[in-house]
Amino acid sequence: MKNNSIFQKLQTILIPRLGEIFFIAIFAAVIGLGPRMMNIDGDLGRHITLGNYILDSRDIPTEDIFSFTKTGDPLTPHEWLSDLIFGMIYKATGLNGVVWLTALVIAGSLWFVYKYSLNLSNMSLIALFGGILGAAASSLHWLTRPHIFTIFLAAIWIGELEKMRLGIRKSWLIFPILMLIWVNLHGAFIAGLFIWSCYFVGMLIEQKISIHKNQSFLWIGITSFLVSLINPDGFGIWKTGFGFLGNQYLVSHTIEYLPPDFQQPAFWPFLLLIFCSMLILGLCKKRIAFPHLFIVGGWTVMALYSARNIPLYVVTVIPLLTSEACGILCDWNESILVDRFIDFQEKIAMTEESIKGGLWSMIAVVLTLVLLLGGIKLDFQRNGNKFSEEVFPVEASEWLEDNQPVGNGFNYFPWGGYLLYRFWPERKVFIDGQTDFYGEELTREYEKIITLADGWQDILRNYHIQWVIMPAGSMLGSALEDSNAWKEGYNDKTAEIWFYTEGQ
Amino acid sequence: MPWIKEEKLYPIIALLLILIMAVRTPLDTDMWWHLRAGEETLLNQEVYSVDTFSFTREGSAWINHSWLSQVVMFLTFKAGNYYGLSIWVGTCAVLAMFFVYLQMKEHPLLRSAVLLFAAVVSSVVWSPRPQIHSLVLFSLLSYLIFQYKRTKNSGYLIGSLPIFILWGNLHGGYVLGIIFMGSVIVGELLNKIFFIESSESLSWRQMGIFAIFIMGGFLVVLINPFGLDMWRIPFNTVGVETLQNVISEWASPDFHQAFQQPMLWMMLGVFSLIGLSQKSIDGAELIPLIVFSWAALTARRNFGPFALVAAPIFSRYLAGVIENWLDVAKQKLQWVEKFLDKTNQNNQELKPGFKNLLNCVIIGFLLVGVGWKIVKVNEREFVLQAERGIFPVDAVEWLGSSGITGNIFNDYNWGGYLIWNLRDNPVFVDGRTDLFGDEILNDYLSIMSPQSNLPENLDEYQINLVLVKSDTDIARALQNTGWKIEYQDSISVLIER
Repeated sequence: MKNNSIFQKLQTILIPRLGEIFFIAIFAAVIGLGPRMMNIDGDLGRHITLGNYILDSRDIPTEDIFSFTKTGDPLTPHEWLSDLIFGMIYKATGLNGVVWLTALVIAGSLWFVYKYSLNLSNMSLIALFGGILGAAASSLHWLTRPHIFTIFLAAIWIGELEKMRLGIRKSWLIFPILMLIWVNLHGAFIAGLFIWSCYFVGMLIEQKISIHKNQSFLWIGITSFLVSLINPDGFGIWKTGFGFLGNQYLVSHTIEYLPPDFQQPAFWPFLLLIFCSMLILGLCKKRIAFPHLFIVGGWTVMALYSARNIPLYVVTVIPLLTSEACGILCDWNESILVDRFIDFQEKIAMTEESIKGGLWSMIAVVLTLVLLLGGIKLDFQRNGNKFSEEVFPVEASEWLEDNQPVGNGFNYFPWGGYLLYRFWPERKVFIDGQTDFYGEELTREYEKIITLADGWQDILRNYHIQWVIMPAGSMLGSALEDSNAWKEGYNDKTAEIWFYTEGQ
Repeated sequence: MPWIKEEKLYPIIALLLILIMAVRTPLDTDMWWHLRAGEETLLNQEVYSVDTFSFTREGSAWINHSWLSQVVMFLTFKAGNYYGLSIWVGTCAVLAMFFVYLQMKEHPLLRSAVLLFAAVVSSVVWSPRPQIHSLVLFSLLSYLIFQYKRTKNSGYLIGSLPIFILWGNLHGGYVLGIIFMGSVIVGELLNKIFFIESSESLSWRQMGIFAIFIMGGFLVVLINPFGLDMWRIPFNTVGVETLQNVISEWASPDFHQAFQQPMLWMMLGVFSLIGLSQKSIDGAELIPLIVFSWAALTARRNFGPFALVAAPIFSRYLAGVIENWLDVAKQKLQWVEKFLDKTNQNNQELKPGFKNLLNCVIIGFLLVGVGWKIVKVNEREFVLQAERGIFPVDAVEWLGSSGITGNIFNDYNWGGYLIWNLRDNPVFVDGRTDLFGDEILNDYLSIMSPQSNLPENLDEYQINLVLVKSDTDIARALQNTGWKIEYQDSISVLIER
């Protein structure tokens, strides 16, 4: 009898829940894509460098310290806490740790999507389907950058707001706390207030413009806005965010802000999600709640406007859609197939209720870190988590280190972060990925130089550029080759380095 | 009694506004090679189907699926010059929107407003090209299907057959009609699966008849000079992988550009309205709407068909939502009811004579607007100025008078213009993507790229003359590799080996 009871207890611990299997699968997938995540985006180097600076100096810089073009200019450190986290994990565990942390945050975000979907729909299979589709759609933006914290917090934020709407959550205090963390982690904290405004306006319409009935929602907005000012730059963080988004030139020159290109198969899961949402709206027999309508509509528009919003679309829209999809299935009870599906679903739910779960996900997370720290390569290509020599000027940087060129260097924009990671504080860059800080004027000057537009040589002269590092085969490289004033110092399949020789 | 009743006045105003919108300077980059092909067909009394315009595909067979449109275009141009083409595009746009209007059954003011919205969305594809015929035929076909669903009279489906015969000769876009009919059938199946019933739902027997007409449509498109090859056309065109890199209209929409945003708002609007309704949508509306939303999100050239499919649904659901809200508002807010009563009363109090005068003034004013726009946008100076903004007008004039002949490497978008204006210089590429395929288009992109190995690539095609935009990488690179600039202005540069 006793043995039987121990066996049952063991069963409850050892058998994983569906959500746990989903979490582990996503975690493993993100770990497998580690080198890809690090190398698609050029900013990781900058985040690590800034994080290290904050750790070492105990100071959050509010003016530029990384470029020679903008030294001393006021800077809004809207990602300082993320940078600090990246810096800490890097110091402790290297790039493997950065990938591990990213995997944890992304898998956590999608697990929340699954959990809230399950809470709202009571159908784990539909929640799982939504989660898988969401993972496929958002995988394009699985990157080692502070944006992941926004995805994570947005997932929690909307789940808790929905609980408030349904009356499951009574206290609203969690929201200002989340916002305080969010505003210091990433500049897209504004997304949280957008989600709140969808709920607030939607609730007002639902309840016939009654502020009294929505007092809690009002307080969430007021307190969240007020705590959003608790950051190193106060209200300046709002100005920076809207200033950047309001600048058409910068937005259209930042790849991640471009709209999704549905000719690329990578965007098809997102397209499929849009059509699922259309199908669900079409088949739904009851009116969709206004907060849900605003969320689905608003995030669809924003994701179609900028591909970087697709992960936010995923974490905000999927729980609401699964809830509506469940409603359609329940209404469609005349079908034998649906009856059988619901029976099967109920059996799964009963089994899951008797399982505690959690053990395997903890083992997976800890074991992965141990293996990575032990030097075992867990990525799909078995390359290890390092900056790729084909993407970044890894070998050229070695050469720069040996030859120590003097003076200001002009660099390829996506390599700015990597060069900072390698050489700061000895060397500063011309420009890097923080476009919102460098602004339109410098970005235009940069563009003039690389496209050899009229006056490009003057700009190089004005900034006293003594050397140039550009990708192999670039137009600028060809022009410098034809010029007597410049001499090639180094080249490999990734990068070329040129030196200014006139007058020497 | 007013001469023009309200239910006719609103659509007349809307259609005249659409005509004003659609009458434009005919300047599409593909227009010119269509005109030239039409001219060749008439000149030789044989459908133009072997390439003579380019040196890269010279002598190759070409399935000229738009031959009849080209003949119509050339005859229109011959008869009315730019004015003719401009009026022809405007008329097609108005016809397409008129058949959409007929599919709406709500208040005329609402229908007209939605029609204008749909017109703005589809206006992206109103250009002097054969695809404007596809838009009209698509709209007419959807009207016939709408009538069939409403009346269950198979006579309407018989009307689809001549449409497909005409379509198979006017434009390869006939496949849109097949897809539309196919999606209606899938939608009807969805109705059966989800037990969605409405007066417009089809029985199994009616679905069978409908399916027979889809097959019939698919078969009758073979009545054309190219026979079975016509079935290959959609696959040939979509199969060109380089398409979206060269032609912007085949690319996914870029909603950062204001002129593309109306499609986004219409899609958002129609699905929001469906979400706000308290019933399931007819599957035969939902599936075509989803399919053409997909098409529009994949390639912006499908904005037109999307708008034609979405507009009647938009109108229906908007009317439902407005009705519900007005009911609630009347109950909650007394002034709403008073305001509506007062408006109705004021309207009834107007004397018929005054109404006639007012209507005539409005319509007359719009007709003057149409006339003014036709004249204004087709004035020689205006057209020339517009042409100079996008085509190498002066470079072509210079080249024509210089006597320099031979193969010319050209900007993709200028191929048609050169075919029409420079008859002694075969082009490298033009808008006939199905003719050139990935092979030539990839070579074109390779030559144009900053990393191009120019001498080798240009030697391969024995190219001694390059006419491209003056601010391109290739223009800068050739100047650095010893080629000589023969002519240059702010738009174009002509470089000779």
